[in-house]
Amino acid sequence: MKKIKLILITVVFASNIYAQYTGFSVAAGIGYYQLDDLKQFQDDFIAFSTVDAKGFTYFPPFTHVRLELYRKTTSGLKYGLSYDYSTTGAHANYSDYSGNMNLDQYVKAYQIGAAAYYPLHFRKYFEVLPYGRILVGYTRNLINRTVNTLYDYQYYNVNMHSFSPALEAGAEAIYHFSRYSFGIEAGYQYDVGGTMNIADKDKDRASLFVPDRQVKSNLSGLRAMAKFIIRFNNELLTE
Amino acid sequence: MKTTTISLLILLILSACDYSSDEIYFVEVDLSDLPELEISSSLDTMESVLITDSLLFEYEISIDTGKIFYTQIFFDESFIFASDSLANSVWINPDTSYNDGHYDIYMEVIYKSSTGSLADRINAEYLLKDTSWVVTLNRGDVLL
Repeated sequence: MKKIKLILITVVFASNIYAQYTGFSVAAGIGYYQLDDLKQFQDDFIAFSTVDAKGFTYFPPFTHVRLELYRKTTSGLKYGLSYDYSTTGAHANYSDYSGNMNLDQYVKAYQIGAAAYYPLHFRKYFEVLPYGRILVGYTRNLINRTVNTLYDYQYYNVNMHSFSPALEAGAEAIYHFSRYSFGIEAGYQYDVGGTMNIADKDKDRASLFVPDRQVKSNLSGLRAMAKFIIRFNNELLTE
Repeated sequence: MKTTTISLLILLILSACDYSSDEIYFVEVDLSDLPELEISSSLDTMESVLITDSLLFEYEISIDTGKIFYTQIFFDESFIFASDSLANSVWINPDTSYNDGHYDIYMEVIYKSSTGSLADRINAEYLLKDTSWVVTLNRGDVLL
């Protein structure tokens, strides 16, 4: 009996997979970004400090989140509008008996994009869709220097930001259930890399502890995410 | 498949949490070579110091780094003078609230530690050296 139910469910659900529908996906994972110039900037930032601080973290792979609203046509093509959020950072420290100094950068990137997916492979509940995506991003870098000693506490921060376009190519592999799907997604993003400028309100303060040079944001790199999809009108059309 | 996908999701999110700003690079600072400071004053050569009206107090500080923050001078715990010079002088003229007797002229020098520590580099670490001299206040009969 259980087997019959399972077969029936499978048939019903499989018939809906090629339907035209709208969906919303949430993806979370990891991004491996180049950020070459920002890494060099971290070294310059350390050298600019008055002590021999040591850099521990140089923008390691870190959190990436993508929200996407999409429409899938009867032909299997899928179009989506996405919002991406990525964050990572760099950290250096110097400590001795008298206190400690932290030199940190916190990078946050916000992107909106449009994507097109092409169904390459489909078998029952499983499909593979390569995609291309165009993105426009705003990258913000918060640079912090904190010095904490017994008789003095100093906290400086400076904001740098840039806008830059990016292109992404990748593929997603999705496994469908009745009204929702799970999958994985991976892609490579090429970020043109905007010049990061110090915010006007921070320029005077920046001269105290930040090297005076331009920095290119470069969020080029690989992304890999796990994905959860909700389909809103799954039942509309059936091929 | 569902279990695998959920496991992958958890794995990816967990692996994305490896950024930390807590690492510490601790450096031992050599404290064996602290600055040497000496204080000398015009009272050093006097066997006893008697104040009948006022006293010119002159001092000189010698320090190998040449860096002091400031000097403070007190008469019987009352502040009377401050300076950031290595040598200076001040007239000590106790008011009439002081009865005849023995009092301390207390001097403290706050100077840069020059240890090379973080606090030292931002001028937030100091050393203190103090000394005092005993003086006798004896106004005798005060003419009004």
